[in-house]
Amino acid sequence: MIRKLCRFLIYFFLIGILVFMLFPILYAFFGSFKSVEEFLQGGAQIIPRVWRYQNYIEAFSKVNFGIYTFNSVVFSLASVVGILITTTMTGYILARKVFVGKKLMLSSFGAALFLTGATTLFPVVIICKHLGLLNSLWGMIIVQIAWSQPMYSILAMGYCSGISKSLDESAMLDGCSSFQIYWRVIMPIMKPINATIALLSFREAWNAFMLPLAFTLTKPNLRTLAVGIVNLKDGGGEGVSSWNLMIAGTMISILPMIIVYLTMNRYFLSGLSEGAVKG
Amino acid sequence: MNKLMKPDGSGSAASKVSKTHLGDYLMIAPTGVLFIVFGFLPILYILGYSFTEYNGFSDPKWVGLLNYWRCFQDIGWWQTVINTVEFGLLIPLLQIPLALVIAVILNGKIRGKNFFRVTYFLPNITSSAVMGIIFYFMFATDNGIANAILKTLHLISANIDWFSNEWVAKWIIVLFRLWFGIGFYMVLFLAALQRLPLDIYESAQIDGANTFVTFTKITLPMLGDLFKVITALSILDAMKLFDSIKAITNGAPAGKTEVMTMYIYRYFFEGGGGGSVVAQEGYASAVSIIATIIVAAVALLYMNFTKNEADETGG
Repeated sequence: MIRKLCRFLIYFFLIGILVFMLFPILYAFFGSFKSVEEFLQGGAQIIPRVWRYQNYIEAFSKVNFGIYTFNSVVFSLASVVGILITTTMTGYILARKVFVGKKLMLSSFGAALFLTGATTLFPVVIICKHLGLLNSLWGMIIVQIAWSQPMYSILAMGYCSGISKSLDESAMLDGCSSFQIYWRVIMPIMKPINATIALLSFREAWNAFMLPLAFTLTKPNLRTLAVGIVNLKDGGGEGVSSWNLMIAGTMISILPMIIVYLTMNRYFLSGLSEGAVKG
Repeated sequence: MNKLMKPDGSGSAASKVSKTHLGDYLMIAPTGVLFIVFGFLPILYILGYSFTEYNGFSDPKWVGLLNYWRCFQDIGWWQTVINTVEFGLLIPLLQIPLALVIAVILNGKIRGKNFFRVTYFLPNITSSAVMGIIFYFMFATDNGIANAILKTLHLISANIDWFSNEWVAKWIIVLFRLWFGIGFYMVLFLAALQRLPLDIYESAQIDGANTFVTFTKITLPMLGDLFKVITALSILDAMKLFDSIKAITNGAPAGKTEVMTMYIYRYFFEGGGGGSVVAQEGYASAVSIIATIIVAAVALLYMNFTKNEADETGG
C-alpha cells in the first residue's frame, strides 16, 4: 500500500515537472499563432481562437527576421566547423604528446571558467577592430570559436585518451606523421564525439547573445535572431504592437534547435555526461 | 584498462609516438593563437585600461587607482554584487537538490524514463535570451497568462504587477533558471550516478536499507567530489548570468535585479546610463577585474569550505 502510494507520488512529481518544462514552450508555440489583439487581451486560454499564420510571414517581411535567420545560420555553421577542426587537433595532441606549455595550456583552460564573457568583451571588440573583423560576421565567428576552445578541446582530449595507442604505433611504423595519424586513423574513430561537439557547439552559437549583441550595436544588418528579438522587446520599433511578431520570432529561433535535438538527443545527453565524467 | 596498457606500451614505438615534432606544435597552433589573442590578451588590455580614463576614442589618460576607488564607493555597484551573490546562492540551492532527486528517480526503474530525461533537458537547448522574453510575456501585468490563470481561479481580483517588486522579479528569474538548468544538472548527476558500483546497492538492499537511507548513506557520500564539482559549476553559472536577466527584467525595478555582468556591460558599451552616452572603458575595466576576483573568490571559498567538511566527516 505504502509502496503504491510512493510510486504514485513519484509519478505525480515527475509529471508535475514535465508540465513545468513544457508549458513555456507550448505557450510560445501557440502564442505565435495568435493575433496581436488576442495576445494583448490576455486570458487563460493557451490555444488560439483563430490561428493566424500570417505572423510568420510578417516576421520575415516586416521585421528583418529573414536577415537575422541568415546571420544566425552562417554564424552557427561557421563556428561549428572552426571549433571542430581546431579542438579535435588540440584534443588529439593533448591526449598523446608531451610538449612545452602543456600544463600551462590545461590550467589556463581551467582558469577561463572564472571569466565572465562581459569582462573581456570590450577589448575583444577592440582587437577585432584592429584586425579589421568588425564589418562582417567573421569577427563574431572567430571569437565564438576562440571562446569555445577550452571546453571542447578537453572533451576531445578525454575521448582520444580512450582510444588505444597501438593504432597510432602501427600507423607510425608505416611512416605516418602526427597529422596523418590524426586525420586518417583517429578522426574516423572520433565520429561520435565529433557529433557531440558539433551539436553542443551549434546549440551554443545558435543561442549566443552577449557576443553578437556587442558586435552588432551599430550594425543592425549583422544581428542574429536572439539579438533581433530582444532588441524588439526593448523598444526598438513599434513596441507592444509587434508582440505577435516577436513571439513568432522566438519560435523561428527555437524550433530548428528543438527539431535537431529531438532527432539526435542521444548525442546531446551522452556527450554531456561523458564530458562531465572525464572533465 | 588504460593504466594496464601503459607499462606494456612503453617500448620504443610508444616513445616515438609521444615524441613531439614541429608538426604537433602546428596542430595546436590554432587553439594556442586563438586562446592567446581572444582569451589572454584581452585580460592584459583591461588590466592596462583599469588605471586610465578612457572613452574608447581619445587617448587613455593615466589616473592610477582612481577607478578602483570609485568602484568601491559606488553603492550601485555593491547592489549588483549583492544581487549576483543572491542569485549565486538561491539558484544552486534549489537547482542542485531538485536535479539530484530527479536524477536519482530517473536512474531507477521508472516507466518512460528516457522520455522524461529528454523532455527535462529540452529547455536547455533553447536560447535563454529568447525564452527569457517568453517568461517576460507570461508575467506581463495586463496580458500575461500568469495573471489570467490566477484570475480564472479567482485567486486574485486585480492584476499583479510582477516586475514592480524587487523580490517577485528576482523569484521569476530564479524560476526561469530552474526551468532552464534543472535538465542540464540532471544529466551531469545521471552520469555521476551511473559510475557508482551496483554491488553496494545490492548489499544495502539485503541489509534492508530503505530508499532514504540508501540515498543519504551511500549515494551522497559516494558522489563526493563530483557533487562538489557540479555544485561549483552551478554557482559559477548563476554568478555569470546575463542573457536571462537582460531579457526578463533588464534590471527592473530600478536596477534592483541588475547583476555584475550587466553593470560591466552597461559601462563598457552603453556609457553607464544616467544620461551619459560616453563609454567609460577605464572604469568598466577596473570593475571587471574586481568582478573576476569576486567570482573566483566565491568559487574557491566554496571548494575550500566543502573540502574541510569532507575531511572531517571522512575522519
